Amino acid sequence: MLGWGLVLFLLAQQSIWKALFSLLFPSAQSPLFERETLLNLTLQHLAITFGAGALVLLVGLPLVVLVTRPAGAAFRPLLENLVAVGQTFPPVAVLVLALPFLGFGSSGAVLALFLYGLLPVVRNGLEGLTSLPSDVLDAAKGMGYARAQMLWAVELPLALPVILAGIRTSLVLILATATVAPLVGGGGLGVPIIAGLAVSNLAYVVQGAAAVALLAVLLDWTLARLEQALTPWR
Amino acid sequence: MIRFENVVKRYGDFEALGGVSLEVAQGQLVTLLGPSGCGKTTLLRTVNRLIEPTEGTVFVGNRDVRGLDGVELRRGMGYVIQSIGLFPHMSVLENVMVVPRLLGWKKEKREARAKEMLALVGLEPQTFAGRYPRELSGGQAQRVGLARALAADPPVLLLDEPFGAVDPPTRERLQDEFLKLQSELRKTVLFVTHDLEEAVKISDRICLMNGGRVEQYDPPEVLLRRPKTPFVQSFLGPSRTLLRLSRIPLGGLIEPLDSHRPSVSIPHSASAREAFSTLLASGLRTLGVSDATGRLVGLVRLETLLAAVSEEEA
Repeated sequence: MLGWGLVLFLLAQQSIWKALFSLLFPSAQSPLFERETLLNLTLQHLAITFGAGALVLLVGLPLVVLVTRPAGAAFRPLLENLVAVGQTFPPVAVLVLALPFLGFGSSGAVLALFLYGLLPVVRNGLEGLTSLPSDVLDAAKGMGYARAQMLWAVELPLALPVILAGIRTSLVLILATATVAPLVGGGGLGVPIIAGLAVSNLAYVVQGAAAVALLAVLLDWTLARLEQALTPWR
Repeated sequence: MIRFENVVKRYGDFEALGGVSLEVAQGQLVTLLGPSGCGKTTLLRTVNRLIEPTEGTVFVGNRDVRGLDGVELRRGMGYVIQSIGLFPHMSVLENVMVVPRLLGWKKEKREARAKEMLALVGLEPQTFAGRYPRELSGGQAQRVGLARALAADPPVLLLDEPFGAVDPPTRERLQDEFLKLQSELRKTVLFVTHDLEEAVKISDRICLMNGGRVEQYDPPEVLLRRPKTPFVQSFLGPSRTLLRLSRIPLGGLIEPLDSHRPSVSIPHSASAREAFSTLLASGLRTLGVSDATGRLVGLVRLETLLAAVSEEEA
């Protein structure tokens, strides 16, 4: 929490950044992207990231549970192939293809990122739920857990470390890839990067990239801490 | 209490159980003994319907288990497997409370019960309740497994090599403690093992199995004295006479002390086999017997032990 406050506070210091980038890029006419403050861009970026991340969890985890039940087992190969295609299909192409349906703005980006980020969550979820120690499951069944109780009280908690690792990979991936959002009119830290590319202003590109990298490190660290807190038994 | 009637289990062409009929009386401890693959675990698992027989019927308390709900049935039986299968994400106390929670007991009641069970199996609740399974030694984990199986006070215990994964001294201690518990609790116990000594030590009756069939079903003394089939004879091996000594209590063989004071003694509670081993080890022909306070109360002669075995032989 403290880390996030500190980073957001730092990003809000527009004048310090301006001074810093003037120093780093003395030749640039405009060393800092000023159409939008860095803080606002960061907040937009996080909104896109968590929007896509929430979709990934809401869709990915129920699908994983479904195909690891006997009734849904037949759909498992289909799901695995679909999420693999989802990740190999370039997000930029998804953005463009979704444009006619979703129009200009962040929603196309959220969709593209959702498809892109589904794979780690689904793959880890499957791995976690299918590689549980068989003796523990046997004991659970022998002690009289009914199916649904077993899922909630034994299988999901035991698979949690692997599931959380997937979520962590996915969110960090989405955060970094969310820089393509401005291509279809979405906001976020991709805005200075893409603007910088357009006007050959290296300073803009570095600003966006550095801020994304900072957020990615922070997010990764936060999720690692969350993993520890949620699985004290390991 | 538990009755198998002509139970057959086939997996494709393989016959795991070839028509087993067996009756376990209430309060008895029966071991299912035999080499790996003889069907003893399969038979055990038909009782709580983890395995459904291909043919035949299993009765628990005179009710056909097929007519009972599998989940309810399993909650009414204690179950321990060799690897114990403690839930690694739950504390020791939570592990022991699993069945009471499934049965919907109130929180205070199940916590009190779980602590009582931990104390019963020799684990100080204050020390162990909050630990996670990875923080336990093998022997401690086995105890927690037993406490978990006993928590809801089920009349039937199904134990599948419960002491199989610990070192021999720990195993012996666990066996002793389990026997003591069983003499108080009087559960109906089905106990799977491949360890002949363990079976002889703890059983009221032994069901010796081979190839999915019952070779002999008798109390240990009878099994050891009169093996019915060549398989039983070879499974028991040449040490069966020694094993028989382990079922003979020392009490009836003790003679009063004479002027001669034996230099080596063993406790009154030991078995004839321990006395025999001690005699062999010390090279003596008589052995002192001491009571609980360590005072010499009598002596045992090598000749008496030999006579006891051959008497039984006749």
